[in-house]
Formats: sequence, structure tokens, C-alpha cells
Amino acid sequence: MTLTETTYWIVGASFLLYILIAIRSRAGTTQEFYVAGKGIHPVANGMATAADWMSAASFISMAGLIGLSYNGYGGSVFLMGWTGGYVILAMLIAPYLRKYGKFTVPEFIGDRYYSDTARVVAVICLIICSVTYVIGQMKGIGVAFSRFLETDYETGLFSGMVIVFFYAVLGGMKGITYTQIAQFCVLIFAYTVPAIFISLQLTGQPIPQLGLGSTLADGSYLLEKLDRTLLDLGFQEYTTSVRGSTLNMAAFTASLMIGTAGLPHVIIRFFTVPTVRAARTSAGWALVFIAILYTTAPAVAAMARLNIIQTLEPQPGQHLAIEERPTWFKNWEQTGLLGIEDKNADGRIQYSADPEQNELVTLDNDILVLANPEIANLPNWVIALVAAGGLAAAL
Amino acid sequence: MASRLAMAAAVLGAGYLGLNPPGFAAGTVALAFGLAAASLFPALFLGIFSKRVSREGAIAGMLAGIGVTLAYVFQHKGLMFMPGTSFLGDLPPNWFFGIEPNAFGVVGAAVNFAVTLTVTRLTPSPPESVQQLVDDIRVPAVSHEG
Repeated sequence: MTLTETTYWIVGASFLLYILIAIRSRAGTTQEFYVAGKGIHPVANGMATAADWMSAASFISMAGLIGLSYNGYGGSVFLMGWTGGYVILAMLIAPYLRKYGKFTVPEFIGDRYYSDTARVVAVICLIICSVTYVIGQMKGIGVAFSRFLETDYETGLFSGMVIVFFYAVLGGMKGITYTQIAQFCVLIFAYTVPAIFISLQLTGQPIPQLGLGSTLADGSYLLEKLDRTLLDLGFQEYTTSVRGSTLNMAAFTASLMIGTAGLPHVIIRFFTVPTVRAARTSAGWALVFIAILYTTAPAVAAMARLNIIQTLEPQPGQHLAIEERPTWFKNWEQTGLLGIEDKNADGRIQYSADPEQNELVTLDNDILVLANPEIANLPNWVIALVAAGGLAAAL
Repeated sequence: MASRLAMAAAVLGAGYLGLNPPGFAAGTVALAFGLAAASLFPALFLGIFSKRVSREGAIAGMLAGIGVTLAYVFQHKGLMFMPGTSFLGDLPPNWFFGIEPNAFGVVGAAVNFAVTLTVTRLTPSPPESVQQLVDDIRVPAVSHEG
């Protein structure tokens, strides 16, 4: 079976699963619609929360951010910011709102500040945040679908919207909760399996988190090699590049942290369990599940970056010829998220930090996770699995 | 029914905007968090942990927070993210203390807190019933299963 066929099969199967669950859980009352009848077990809810958390941003974009534009160390703002925010949320905010008992954040604000104006202001703020957030998600969906359907970004985005539309409208929160659990399983599997394989490939160490710190086949440390190779190409070192300044990084992390704590849709998730204590427990579980992905991300990022560089320049000075570029390269070019320009007309691709010389002109962050298994020449079913996972996360 | 319609509209609107995103997925999402940080978090936090904060304070704070953050973001990324309308450009030298637009949320939040607390000083306390509500929320519930 070719890669495309395998992809269709696996992704199709996962979709069928979600849609079936969504249909079976057709919400009845308004309360059910919003908070899944408040009857979900903490561990299950933890999984669903984690899945919700591991949106397109986390799954698809984060490793790319870390690996590419934020160049390693700088990407830690996301890991720390989001995780920290999650903790603030779970400890400081969610349990009290749960005790309060109303469904939405604006309602709380309206009541606590005894004012309809306050409520309206909160709604407006919320809409602004949510729209921005969803724009980001849509980008992720566009990326995943465009690769999966082997079409360009715009078409991928459109198809993704249609699907999201269908089951969001059908199931409301309840459908989403159970579907989220299914999605969580798909996506955590999809994220960690390639990471394990690639870690094995590069360092012989199956646990990616440990693999990040291990040695490669030639005896040098993975991170050292990455640092050196990047320096050679003119980039900053992976492990030390501070994004902007330390103040900027601190501000970024802080913004992410408290922003997370204020973000409505995650808060609502805590309403789907029976008691306040259960809310805290499910938050704890979600943290565990999220941690699995978040600690794997840096490994994915570093290894993918190294793989790309090694594909483009297997030995220092020896560059990849354009006709010889691998299939995955061509596939991604189709989506418009990867692009080359032979500036010096030598038929080969030079990758460099210098914008004048660089011929890998487009390398969208978001493709890193999805392209990772392809780059590492993993078997078809793994690649298809990652596509399914990316879609699961995006939804 | 209304919520389903709202969801539909949201998906459509966002999809349309997704065609021209101001960056990659996680970057935009970070922006959303910054906005939530500046507007909602202080109101939520103070609402739970302080009985004194008044409605005028909260409203002023939320508006100030989101206003400042949006202004900063649009200044550097273009009005409503449309390319070409950013008047100061997305350039490091123009950033406030070197803090980039994605990271500005915490500054917005600080503004929010400051404004909220100041305006609260100048306005009457919340009514008894509201202060009672805050007390209620803070006390652990009697477990319904036990």
C-alpha cells in the first residue's frame, strides 16, 4: 500500500471514530450541551482536557517553533508558559469557578461585578481572544489537511473547516468531550511513536526525552552536533539562543502563563466533573498527560532539525542536488509551506542563515512535526498515524 | 440553537481569517493568550480573591488591558492583521523594552491590575450580597458524595 492509501485509511478510520461518537452523544438539554451532564470521571476528563490543550498549536506548531524560528532555547517560553499557566489555572481559578457553579466566564464576571456592562465587556474581550485563538488553530488545520489531501493550504483549510463545523455543531460539548478522549489517545500515540523511532535511529535510545541528551552513532552528543552544525550554517547555537532578550523571554512566558489561566475554553472543561475535588484531580491528570507531549516536543524539535540539515547537507560542503530531493520534500512543496529558490543556479540547495545565500526560502514552522517521520524515512503507517494525530489535535 | 449558530459563525469567520494568518499557528495562539492575560485574567483573579474590587474598577481594567495590548499588537502587526497597515513595523528596535508583540500580554495585565485597583479606590464597595458570594466561593464545598 502506498503512503497515500495508508494515510487515507488510518485518518479515515480515526475520523469515523470521532463522528460516530459525536453522533451517539447528540446533546439533549442545554446543560448537557455545555457541560456534558457533569458526569465524567476525572481521569477521562483529564484526558479530554489534555486533548483540548494539545490543540493544533501544541501538536503541530510547538516542535516547529522550538526547532526552527525560536531556535531551541528560545522555544522554552512556550513549554514553561503554557504548563505554568495550566498550573495556575488548576490551583487558583478553576476550583472556585466550579464552586460558583455557573457555566461561563462572562456570567461569573457579570455576577461578581454586579453589572451587565461588566458582562458585556467580558464577552467582547472573550470574543477577541477566541477569534485570535481560532485563527491560529485554523492555520494548524490548514497545514494538516493540505498535506493529508495533498493539496494547497487554502483547500486544506476549507476542508478542515467543513469537518469541524459538522461535528462541533452536532455534538456540542458532550460530543466533544468523548471525542476528545478518543483524540487524545490517537494524538499522544501519534506524537510519541515517531519520536521513539527517530530517537532510536539517531541515538539508539528509545525514550526521546533521554535521547535528546544522548550520543549519536558517531559518538558525539546530539545537542553538540546540532549546535556545531547550526553555527557552521550561520545560525545561532541551538541550546543557548535567547529570543530577543531575557526580559522578552520572561515577559513572553508570563504572558502565556496568565493568559492561559484566563482562557475560557479550558476553564469550561473543569465543569464536566461532579465535584470541586474531582476538578482538581482531573486537572492533575491532564497535567500528567500534557507533560508527556510537552517533554517529548524538544526532542522532536532537535532531532527533526538535525535530520533536515543532514538531508540537505549530508557532509559539510556537499549540498543536496535539486533533482535528487526526496519525495517528502516535493510533497510539502505542493502545500506551499516549503519552498526553494536556486539563487546561484548550481542545481543544488544551500541552506544558510544568511538571507542572501539561503535557498531554502520557505520552511514553515508548522510542518516540522508532520514532516518529521517522512524525513526520517519511517514506515508508511507511522507517517499516516502522525497525520491522523495532527488532525486529531487540530480538531 | 443559538449557540450552534454562534459556533457556525465562529468557525466560518475564523476560517476566513485563517487564510491570512499573522504568522504560524502557535504564534497567533500566543497572541490570543496575551489578550486573555491582559483582559480576563486580572478580572477573574481579583474577582475571586478580593471582595473590595468594584464593578467600575473591573470594567475599566478590562478595557484598559485589552486596549493597550491590542494597540501595541496592531501597531506592530497591522490593523486587524492586514498586511501593510502596521505603522511601526514588526521590528525589534521599536519594541517596548525589547518585548515583542506576542509577549506583551503581561504588560497589558499589569496595566489592567493598576487601573482596576485605582478605580476601585475611587468607587463604592460591592454590595453585601456580592461579598457574600465571594466568601461562598472560597469555602470548600461539603462533598455531595460523602
